[in-house]
Parts: sequence; C-alpha cells; structure tokens
Amino acid sequence: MQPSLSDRFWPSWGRVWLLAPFFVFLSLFWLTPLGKGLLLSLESDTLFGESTFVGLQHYRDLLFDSRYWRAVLNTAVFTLATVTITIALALVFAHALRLCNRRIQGPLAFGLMIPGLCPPTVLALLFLLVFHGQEGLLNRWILQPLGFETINWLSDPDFILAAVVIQAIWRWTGFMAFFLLCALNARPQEILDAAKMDGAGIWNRFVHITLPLIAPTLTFCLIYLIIDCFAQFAGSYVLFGGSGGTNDAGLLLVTYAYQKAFIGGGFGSGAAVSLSIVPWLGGALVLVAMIPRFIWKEGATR
Amino acid sequence: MNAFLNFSKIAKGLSFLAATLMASSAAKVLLADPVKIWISSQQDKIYYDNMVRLYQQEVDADFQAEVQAFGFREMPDKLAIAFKTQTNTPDIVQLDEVFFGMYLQGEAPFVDLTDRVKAAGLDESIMPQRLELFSVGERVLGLPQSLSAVVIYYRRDLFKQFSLSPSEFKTWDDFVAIGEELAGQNQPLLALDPSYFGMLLRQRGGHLFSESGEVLPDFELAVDTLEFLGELAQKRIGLMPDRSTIFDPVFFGGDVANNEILAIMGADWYGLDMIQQFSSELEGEWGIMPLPVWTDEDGNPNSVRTSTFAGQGLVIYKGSDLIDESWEFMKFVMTNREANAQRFLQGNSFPAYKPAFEDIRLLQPQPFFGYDSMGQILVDLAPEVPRVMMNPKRPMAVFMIREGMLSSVMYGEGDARTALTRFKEQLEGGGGPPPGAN
Repeated sequence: MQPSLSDRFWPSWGRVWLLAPFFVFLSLFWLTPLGKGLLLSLESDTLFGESTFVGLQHYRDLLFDSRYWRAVLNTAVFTLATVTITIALALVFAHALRLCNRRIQGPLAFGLMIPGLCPPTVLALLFLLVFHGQEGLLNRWILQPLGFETINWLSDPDFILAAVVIQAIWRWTGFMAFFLLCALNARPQEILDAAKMDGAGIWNRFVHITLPLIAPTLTFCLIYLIIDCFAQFAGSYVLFGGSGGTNDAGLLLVTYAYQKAFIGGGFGSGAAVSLSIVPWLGGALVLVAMIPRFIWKEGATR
Repeated sequence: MNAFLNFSKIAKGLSFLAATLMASSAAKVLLADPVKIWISSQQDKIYYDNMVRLYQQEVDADFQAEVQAFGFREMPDKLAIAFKTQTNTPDIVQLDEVFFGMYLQGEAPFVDLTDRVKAAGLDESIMPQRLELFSVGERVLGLPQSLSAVVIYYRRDLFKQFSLSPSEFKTWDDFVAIGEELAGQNQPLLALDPSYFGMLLRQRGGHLFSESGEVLPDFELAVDTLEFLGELAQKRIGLMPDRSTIFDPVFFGGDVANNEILAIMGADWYGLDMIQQFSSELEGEWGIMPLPVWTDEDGNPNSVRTSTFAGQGLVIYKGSDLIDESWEFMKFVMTNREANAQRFLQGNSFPAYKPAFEDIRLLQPQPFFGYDSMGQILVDLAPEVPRVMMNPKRPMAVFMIREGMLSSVMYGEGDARTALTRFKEQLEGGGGPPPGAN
C-alpha cells in the first residue's frame, strides 16, 4: 500500500520525537552560531559598543585583499598536497599491513594511528623539534647525512608550506591507512580471484576492482582530510605563532580569520573570512563526491 | 501519618534551602565584590598577589581582589571576546602596549583616566613618552608599568675572548666594522629579531605611524633601516635564530647556550625577565650597554642612544562597577615606593615612574649583569626614550613585521623597499577607523 500524500509530508509523531534531539542540538550548536557568524560578518569591526550594519562590505574588501588570496592559494595547495600524499601513502601502508602476520597487524595499525589520536597542539610542539633549523630531526638525521644543506623549515618561505604539509601527512597517514585496511579486508575475495583467473594484472585489479570497491571509504577519507585541511589551525598556530610565516608563505584561511579578528581586532572581517571558506570547502567536497560516481560510471560504461 | 511526616521533612528541607539562599544573598551584600585583575603572565600574578596584600596592609584592609593569570598571547584573545560579548569582563587589565591598539577599533573600552591622572600628578611624574603610549589623543586610557628602554645585552666572557670592549661600540658604523671582523672568524655578533626594525626606526626618530595615522610616514628612513638589518644578516654580522625570534626559550637553549651570538638587543623587561629566566646559568657573564648611535654623512651622531619596544600597562574596563576601587589600587601600584622596587627586583620591568628612579634598590649593581647597574644605565637613558604613536593598526603592524618582513628580505623574497611598500599597502588596506573616532 502506497503512503498517502499527507503521510509523506507529515511524518508520524514517533519519528518527530526520535529526530527532535538531533534537530535541537543542530539548531543550538550549529545553526545558531552559524547565523550569528553571518550577522557578525555584516557588522562593522567594532570591538566594544554598538556595531553598525555594513552589509557585504567585508566580503567586498576580501576581493581586493592580496593576503586573502594568498591564503586561498596556500590553503588549496596545502589541501591538495596533503590529501594526495596522505591517501597514496595510506593505501601503501594498508596494503603492507594486509601482508603482515595477523597477530602483529593490530598492534601495527594501532601504532600508525597514534599520531592521529594526539592533540594537534602537542603534535605541533613535537614538530618544533623536528623542524629546528640546525638541530632538528629532519636536518640532523636526514638532510645532513645525505650531504644536503640544512633547511630552516620554519623561516625559509620556500619550505614553510612543505613543513605544514609534512606535519599533516604524519598525523593522518596512519589513521587513513586503518580505514583503508578495513575497506580492503571487506573486498569479496571471489571477485579478486575471478579477475586473477581471467588474467587481470595487479594494476588492472587495483584500478578496476579494488578502487571501485573501496570508493565509499576513500570518499569518506577524502572528505575527512579536506575538512581537516580547511580547518587547520592549531598546528600552524604553534609552528608560526598565529602568523603565516615569512612572507605569508604558510598563511592559511583559518589563520587569516584569526589574524583579522584577534590581531586586527576586527571580528566582522574575521567572520567574513571564516564564512568565505564555506564556498571553497563546499566546492572541494562536491568535487570529491563526484569522483566515485565518475569511477563507477566509467566502470559501467566499459 | 507517613504522609504528614514526609510533608514535614519536605517543609524542613525547603526552609533550610531558603535560609541558605538568604544567608548567601546577605553575605553578598555585606562582602564587597572583588576587583577582578587580569594579568598576562604567571610571574606577574605573583607580583600582583603581593601588591594586593601590600595594599590591604597600607591602604584598605577591606580591599578584595581576584588576580587571574593568562598566557601572554592568550590574554588579548580572551579580553577581546569578553569585550565583544560583554561577559565575564575584568575590572583591571594588564595589557602590553603592542596589543593595546587592537581595542581602539571604534569606541575604546577603557576608562578615560585623564582627570584622575592629572589630579594625582601622574602626568608630571610618569615619563611622558610612556604615558602617551597608553593615550589616544589627549585622553589617557592607561598607566604604563615599564620604561621599556632598549639596551644591548652583551656576553662579557665572549667579549673578553674576542678582545672586545663595550666602549668600542659608539656608533652603528663601529658596530658593523667590528661585526665584519668577527664574521671573518665565523662568529656572529648580534642575534637578530624582526622587532629590531621598529626599535632602530624609533631610535632614528622614525615611526610606524604618524599622529594622523599614516603608515610609515618616514618611508625612506624605514627602507634604510630594513636594508641595514638585511645587511647585518647577509654579512653574517647578525644571526637570525631558528624560529626567527629572540622571544623564545628555544633561542636561549640553542643560540645563547652554544655561544653562537655575543649580544642581544632588548628592552629592560627583556633582560630582567627573559635573559635572567632562560639563561640563569650565565649569571655574571652578561653586561649592559646603550645602543650605538646613528651618524650623519659627516660622521656626527644624530640619534639617541636608546629605543623602546613593548611593555605592559594597566587599564580599567569602562563597564566596570568598581572603577574607583580599581583606580585607587592602580595608582598605588604605580606610585608606591615598595611596589615600584618590587616590580624591578622580582624581574618584571623598570618603572616609568620618575620618583622611583631615586630608589637606591633600583640603582644597585646587579651580580647577574656582571655588577653593571642596569638601573643607573636606564635612568641615564630615560629622557632619550623615543615616543610611540598609538594606532589601532599597530598590533597588526608589529605582527606583520615580526612574522614576515625581515625574514622575507633575508631570504631574498624581495628587497627592503618592496617589502615595506607591500607592508604599507596591506596596512592601509584595512584596520578600521583612527583611534578615538567615536
């Protein structure tokens, strides 16, 4: 029996009660701050006393703000580099873990996850030692033994963004490897065996079977990483003291929002920078959501 | 019967609750609200806790205060939120002048102390350059806690090792000449820090902002100053610390401890607080000397021997219910002989209150600085401390200088003129209305 039109539009009270707590929390802790943030972005940069309504002035200012565009570019590069390298490494680690003895697979996977479980501030403090211009782990244990000159990772504008990317990769690779390991383990073995018997090589099996099968997990990992990259603050705050480093080489959008609000005393313009992240982030997420569809469609066509 | 007993118990409970509430309300009425004081370091909290006790002993036994310490960078953030939301606001705030400008976007949230300062004679007894720092136009909004005169802290042991004497550093030309010789021996002379740009610019009579709010009104002087610092770095006379800052324990644990530099430029509070705290093992090995002077084309001195950078001050929140109590305490801390002496002796800062300059405890030779009298050197330099023009964009300007400008010149990202042109354009592009516009 088909539900009537009124049933479709007016769900039963039972469902309403079940969903009510979610919507209450959503309204209280998500929609209300978002709405307040939007209102704040339309007000003058007044810290004390009555603010005046300035409309879209802060957003217009951003269009002509070279530092803002630098932050957009840096965030895009940071996100792209972090996501690409992290996912690639995580896939390698996940495959490597699958090859390990089952007894040590668990402890190894947990070990890889530890950086992701660490608070980002603690991790960034550790990375101050890793990136130290003279005595840092990267310089002393890797670059110097290989005969390279030491790099001042936190001051040299050519390496600042690389330092932030390295930190993010180190944090998330193990975590993502764990998710991907679960996805790899969930693949139906008979499909892989059938493909093998049909003569499909490792690469073909990976591209045409494994990748579509783990696509939902991969999408989740991509979304998770992209959101984290756009929201990156604690790590770069500790490394660069709330700045973007030399010549704004590591200035990210959230850091710029912080600077506008808490260094420049402009909560309105800071809110505008924060909210301007929404379309960039939305665009990136839509793009990611389309990738698996593309893969599946491609597969179906073939 | 049971029902009656239960009712009796409930009634008793409710009566007890009502009595408790009434008693607590009465206590609130009888006990004065404490003055809430926000401090930007744990070390300063100890000092202010002591000052509250001293004030209770000497002035008002009933005075109550709640001193709360925050991190140096944390406090301005918390304060901005408190002002914006007008929730959990303090009465007195200890604020660094670098952050002070941030709160001047629109209506200043601090009490206008002009009349009170004049009535107390503080306009005469506090160094005018420092009082001006916490003022907007003619309105005094805060009291400066420190003189913040800049000197050079040098390593006595290393100077001896390289046969150097402080008397050789009369001009910056002398400084560069000696520095080049040392660089030839692979020994940097000075630790570099981006804050030196503002310090040297002020020493030469330049400013980050004019009185009317123009950014870098002495642009050519600023270019020359930044080029000078870039040269110090390129000629290896100066050494940029790892995290590009001398305000970092890592700098003391690395560059200072490894004898990589011979001297640091810093304000009085830098020596009293950071050097003493983070290089305590070098007690007796430090010395103090005034800055070398700048010279004109004929080689004649044309600058003062000191500069200024940062320094804390006390302000009162405009919405406070305890403005009078807060002012009296603030005045006491700024003018009391013991309060001024303790601020110096406890490693906080050298006072900007002129009568304190005569206190013998402030002028005594200090073993930590090789028995140099920091107090005497600062008293001699005090009249030469340059002015600082306050502006709402000043925090952002200091931040941008600290975090990018000098480093970008050092790493060949552009020359000094390009970097300063960009700096000027970026600051002129935003930052809100001039101070006191409302």
